[in-house]
Amino acid sequence: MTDPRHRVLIPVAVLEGETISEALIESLAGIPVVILGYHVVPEQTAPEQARHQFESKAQAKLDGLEAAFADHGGSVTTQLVFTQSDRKTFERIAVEHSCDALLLLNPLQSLDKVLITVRGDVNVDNIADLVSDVFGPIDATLTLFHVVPGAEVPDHDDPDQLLTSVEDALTDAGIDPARIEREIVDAPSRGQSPLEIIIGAADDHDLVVLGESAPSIRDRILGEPAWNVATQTIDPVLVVRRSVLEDDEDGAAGTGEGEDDNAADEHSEDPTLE
Amino acid sequence: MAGDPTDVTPDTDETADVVSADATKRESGTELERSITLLGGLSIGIGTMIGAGIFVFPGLAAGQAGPASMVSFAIGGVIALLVALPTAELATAMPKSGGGYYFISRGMGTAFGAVVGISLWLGLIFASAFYLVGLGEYAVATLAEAGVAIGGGPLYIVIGAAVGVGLTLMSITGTENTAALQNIVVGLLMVLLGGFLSYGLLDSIGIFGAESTPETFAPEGWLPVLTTAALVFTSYLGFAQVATVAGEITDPGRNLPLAMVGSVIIVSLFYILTMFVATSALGREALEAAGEVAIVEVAREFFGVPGAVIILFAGLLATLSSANASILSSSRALFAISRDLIVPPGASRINLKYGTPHVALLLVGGPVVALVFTGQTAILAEVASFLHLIMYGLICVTLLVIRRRDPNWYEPEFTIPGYPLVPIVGALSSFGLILFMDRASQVIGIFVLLGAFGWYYYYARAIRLKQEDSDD
Repeated sequence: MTDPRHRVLIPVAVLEGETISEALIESLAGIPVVILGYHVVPEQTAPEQARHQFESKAQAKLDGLEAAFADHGGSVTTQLVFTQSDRKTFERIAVEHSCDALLLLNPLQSLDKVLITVRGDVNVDNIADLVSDVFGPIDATLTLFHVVPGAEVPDHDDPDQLLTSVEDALTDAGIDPARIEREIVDAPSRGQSPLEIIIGAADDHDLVVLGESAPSIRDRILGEPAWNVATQTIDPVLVVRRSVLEDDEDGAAGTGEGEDDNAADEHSEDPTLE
Repeated sequence: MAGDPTDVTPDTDETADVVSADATKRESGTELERSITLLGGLSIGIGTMIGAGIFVFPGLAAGQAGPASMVSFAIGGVIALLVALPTAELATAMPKSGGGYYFISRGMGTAFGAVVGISLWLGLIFASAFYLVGLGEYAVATLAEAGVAIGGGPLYIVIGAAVGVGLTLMSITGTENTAALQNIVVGLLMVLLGGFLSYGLLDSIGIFGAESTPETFAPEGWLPVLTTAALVFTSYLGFAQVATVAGEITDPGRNLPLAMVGSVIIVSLFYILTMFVATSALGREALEAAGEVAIVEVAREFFGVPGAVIILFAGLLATLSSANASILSSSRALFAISRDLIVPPGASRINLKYGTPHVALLLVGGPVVALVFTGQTAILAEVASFLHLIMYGLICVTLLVIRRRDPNWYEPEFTIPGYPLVPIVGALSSFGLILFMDRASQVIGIFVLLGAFGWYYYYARAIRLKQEDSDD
């Protein structure tokens, strides 16, 4: 059974000079992407007011990115949004366009080493599926990375077993086992928080894959961990959406809209908005 | 610079916009995110209004009308409600930034729109100046409470003006994050005032403490009750501000009417209760003598110095929040008219560095600070009310006009009960209240309107706004 290809949302702050590096466009050309050109407007300003002044400039930049993807044979949808709340916009567009992951941009020279962080509490098959979809076509090393949070946190899976199950799922999906590496780090013995360890490990890699965490009060105050990684490393961060992480194995219940049958997905992904 | 008498059609064809709960989708495909929730909308309405009615007017109102001043506030509340309902209906049909200006210009034509748009911008400037003078009074009273000796001279004016400069600069540099702060401030005020007024109410009806000696209800007769209603109407100028962010509110069909009508009802209850408690606790003379900070003396009567300090603090917060909200709304009003080319489009240009409309904010903040120096609380308040009441009356007329014409694009998600009585009474009472204002305020108000019309005639006569003549 072939799964439908996963779709990735790439938010680009088009008016702040943010762009998608050539290497990244090349790497992502194999999967459908939604480029979200956005501009954050301060609350003193009506979004309509910003649109009035900046729409054509922003649209031109977005069109440039779309053309760059199309040159590499990628399937692209674009959307331009003026917003006062970037997080709300990302969430909404991700749901509307059935995206399973979000790519937080940082510049990329070349994509040779991918750091895939694996938590104990997520759906292994869905992650493997998404990872093989996105990184299958490119020739990069995939490092499965697990941080043991600490003795006091009961971790239902043995870390070794956890990574083995991911590795098996990846090889089942057709990834060459030679491309897969694994690393387990014990947080308490390093005296660092899991987040700090991931940020440290990111320095040796070109791109980080992270799972979105369940929203908690702490995250509301300190920010979603994935975003912190994105701002504190020089790597792009692929954030796998919660809906994907939590999907049941049978896939029917609670599945995101992107999990429909193959044919429907193939049709819905290519049209660009007029 | 004068507009040529050839037709000018601004790029504002918004009939093709698709409004969903979370975004406005324009014909070009670009989307405008909606991020203000119902709570945020209520907080804009209440936060703008509550500063004046409770923290500035009780002394002035009681001085003029005695305990019957609570009727003055009730009259104001009823008029506000009669206008809030039509405003809500129009806003759900046209959930665009610009509020009253937008509806009137689309319903009644460019001339009315231009006069209203310009006088809304100026009316909010008068309102902001009024709140800042009130803030100055509270700052001076706070200093006095802290035992800081104050020399003579208009210190309150200097403080009010300084805060006005500060708010404007903060808005321009974008350093403030007032939306989140505003919600907290409004919540805090509601809790503080709720507790204070509940205690006062129980005290006044004699549950604890001595039963207060009843005063003559309307010591000066009923005419002062009406003139006081005209004076204190400034306390209700916030609900239409919700309509100025109509383009940013989530689920506008539901949240706009709820935020507007809800905030009017909530503040009306607070105001009436405040006047009841204040006039029961202290006599009319004592309230009048305390002037703008009368409510502090009421708190002192109940809770001693700690009560006075808490209410002083609340007063500073409330007047600050009102002033800030009005400055931002005024800049929105200016954007709305510059988008339609009624004033030069440069007025709403956005600063590249901060992303804020710096020209508009300066065109608001500058006049505000200048008006603060007049120090005339009552006149500033009445001129603000005058200009708003003209708009409110015209909003009601617009509803009548649009419903009669019934164009295709008019599909409000919320329709008012009691049509056509509500907008007819709303319009008559809005215009009628103006008659009870002070002569000086009326004269200034009329001059502003004439000035606005003069500008329209000189600069914007040739402008044709699209929706007004579509499908006739």
